[in-house]
Amino acid sequence: MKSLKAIVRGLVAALLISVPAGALAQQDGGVLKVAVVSEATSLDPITTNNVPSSIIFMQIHDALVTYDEELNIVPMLATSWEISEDGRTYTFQLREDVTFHNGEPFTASDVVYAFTAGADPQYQSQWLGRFQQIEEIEAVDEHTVTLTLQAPNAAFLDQITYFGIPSSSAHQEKGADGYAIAPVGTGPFRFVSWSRNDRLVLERNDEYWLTRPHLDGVEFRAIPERSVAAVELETGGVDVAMSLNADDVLRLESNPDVTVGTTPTLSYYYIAMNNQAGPLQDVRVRRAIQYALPLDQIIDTIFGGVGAVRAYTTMAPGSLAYDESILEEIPGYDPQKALELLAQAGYPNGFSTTLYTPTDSNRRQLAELAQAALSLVGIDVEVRSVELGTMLPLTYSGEAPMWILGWTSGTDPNNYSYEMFYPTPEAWETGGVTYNTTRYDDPETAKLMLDARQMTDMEERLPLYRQAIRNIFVRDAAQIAAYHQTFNIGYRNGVNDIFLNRNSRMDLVTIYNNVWIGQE
Amino acid sequence: MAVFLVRRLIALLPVLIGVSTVVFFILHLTPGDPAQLMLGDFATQEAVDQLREEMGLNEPLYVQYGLFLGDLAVGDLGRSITQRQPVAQLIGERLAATAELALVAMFFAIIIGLAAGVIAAARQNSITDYVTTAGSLLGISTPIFYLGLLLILLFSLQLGWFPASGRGPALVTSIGQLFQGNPEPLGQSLRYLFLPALTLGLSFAALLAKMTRNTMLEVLQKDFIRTATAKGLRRQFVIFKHALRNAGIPLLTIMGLQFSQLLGGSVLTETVFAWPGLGRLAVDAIFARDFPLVQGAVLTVALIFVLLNLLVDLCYGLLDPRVTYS
Repeated sequence: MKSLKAIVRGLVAALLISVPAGALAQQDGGVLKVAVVSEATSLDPITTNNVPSSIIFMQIHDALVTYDEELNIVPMLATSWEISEDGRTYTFQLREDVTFHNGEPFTASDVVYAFTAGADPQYQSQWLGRFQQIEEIEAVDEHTVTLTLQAPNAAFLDQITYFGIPSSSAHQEKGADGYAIAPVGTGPFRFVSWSRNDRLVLERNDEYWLTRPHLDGVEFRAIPERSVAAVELETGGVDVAMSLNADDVLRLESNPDVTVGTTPTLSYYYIAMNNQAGPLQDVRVRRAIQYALPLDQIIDTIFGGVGAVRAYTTMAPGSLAYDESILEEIPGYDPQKALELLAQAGYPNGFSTTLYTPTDSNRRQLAELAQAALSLVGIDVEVRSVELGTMLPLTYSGEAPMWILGWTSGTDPNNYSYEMFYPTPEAWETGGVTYNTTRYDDPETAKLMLDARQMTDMEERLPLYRQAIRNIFVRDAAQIAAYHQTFNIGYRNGVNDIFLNRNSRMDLVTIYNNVWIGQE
Repeated sequence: MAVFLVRRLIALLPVLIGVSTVVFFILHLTPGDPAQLMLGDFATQEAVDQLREEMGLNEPLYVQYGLFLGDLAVGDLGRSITQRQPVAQLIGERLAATAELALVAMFFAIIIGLAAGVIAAARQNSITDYVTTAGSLLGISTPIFYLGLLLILLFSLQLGWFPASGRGPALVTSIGQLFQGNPEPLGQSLRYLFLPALTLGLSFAALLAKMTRNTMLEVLQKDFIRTATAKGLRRQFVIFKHALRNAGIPLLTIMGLQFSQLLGGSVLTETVFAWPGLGRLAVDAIFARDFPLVQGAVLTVALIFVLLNLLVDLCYGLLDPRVTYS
């Protein structure tokens, strides 16, 4: 059954490829100059999965599966897959017509090597945490791989959409450190050169199996100061600038040479509360805080309508488990109700607490505006702005009563519920690493999320997630959802077929777009 | 002279060991775990523990410190945790970029700062003096970051004369090309260098102008200046030959100290102008708790600092024949 579905999806994807995107003449040629905010740390997909690196190495590599425009999982290097009855074993059929940039054919052994190395502590891979769930992976034949998980995980395919597969021989030969600066993949572009913190150059892979890329090449430049990237875009120093400042978006929109595209992302930014300590243990206090914060106004003040949209739960508009009916159930701004609830909870005169925030200006502003609003209901908040390295341990140990953080983790609803709210008592006790730093512990909700994780049919999973989210945000007021960031790309006239990806990615050559330069 | 030099070089050792010790302990005692930061969104306690083990972070601190010093003694700065490359190589790649930026900035600073200071002193209490003094005050108090953005808006966006960010061909390479009869790369290098170097140089020029003016005024009131003027020497000659040379020693000290500050200021300049230098490398490393890389970068800057001071000491002899080294 499952394999049938995958095959159908594969056929649809193949159709998408073969139909030209538009009747207009698309030109080959030109090098696209792209400004990115952060520098890649390494171009080795086996050891690296941070976003700045991944944006670049996924131009050089392909993964087994990928997303279509609607963020459904569709075939890439795997043409189809079958999931066993118990949900633990995945059998992937691989494409047979793919070669690496060094001319070697892509086979099952490359896939086995990549997953095995990623799970091997010796490689110090950022995938280590994710890949510990893999029990076994083996090549059945040249073009078939089976992969077995320790427990069923419906979000597994979603979690490996940005796991690019390197040439195993090149990776072994160069070693992980050598490969990090000279990758060999199967992707639309080949690696040419990289001068760190300056520019990284790629050229077209003429043999690309999916389609012939229109661009001759791509040049990425790391420009950390966003307003400078905007100037570069205006002066033609770059063709595309990712992640623009809200202020600059307003200016660029009046520039006839530049187009700014905006799309809401699946990112989620929130004010967290430790549900197991102090006054915040009491759901009435947490709900009072929901009532006390004029979030619509706060988000509008910070972003001015560009850059972010208000969040109500972890699920962003456009995500699979998004549920519009929940919006009106989330308490709106009503300080009088907040005061009543605080009085009922035994805090008629409020209390003092501390709110930690990372140092970026958006979240600092959020902290300060929340501080002002909460002071009106008698809650005296001390804001402490610290960098992430200092803040995370305080959230693991339970020392921080309130803090602001952001979360992005693929597209699967599991990653926006189970990963953040499934109880982890062992970690709480020892102060160990956990993503349920909110210390949310509700058996009923936990069961919903665990059941959903073990089902494979998305349609069956969604109602469970919706109920879990309702419990967490409406019934238990466990967290204050603040905003979903929007993804902005500015590009100069003459750059065509730019796609705005909800995962905040730069798509150049995919199953649904192939960027080209020239006048339409 | 040779004995002096050797003695000073030997005296460097305790300084460098001291610096590396302080950096090592500050880093390791600051909250934040590189393994955790590296695993980011997908960390599990088990994975973090395994990674810490692989990175050697589970050893007692004194053992880690011993290993660090041992490696350092044989010139091994270790391997960057985040970038997975040898620290020495990463620093080497950036050092040239920061050095050329700092040198050209220094050049701007000296030209602008000395000229402004001397003119202001020579025409004390004139309009020129007031303008210069006010200008230098403004220059000192303008944050580099802000100045950089203003210059970009003016020279890149409005006038379109210089690129807003990035680095052209390495200056050394370009100069080599010039000697082979190809001036074009040098033009490219300088076009990219101009704005960041001016930004960095201006704030330093402002300070230098103020210092030069004050020192010059002091010297100009000395008896030997009066004598020189009395015996009929031209004003310019008195100012440049007699006064400036005597103001040289305090100014040189300031310049030496300021050059190290210039390296500090380059952190911001490099960020604004996306300049691929040491400052940016160090800042990124600090946020990622990339211990080996931070240690290497700080140690390099410390080394430059002490060597520069030595150079300044040696230069005293050139300016003042009474100074001898023993």
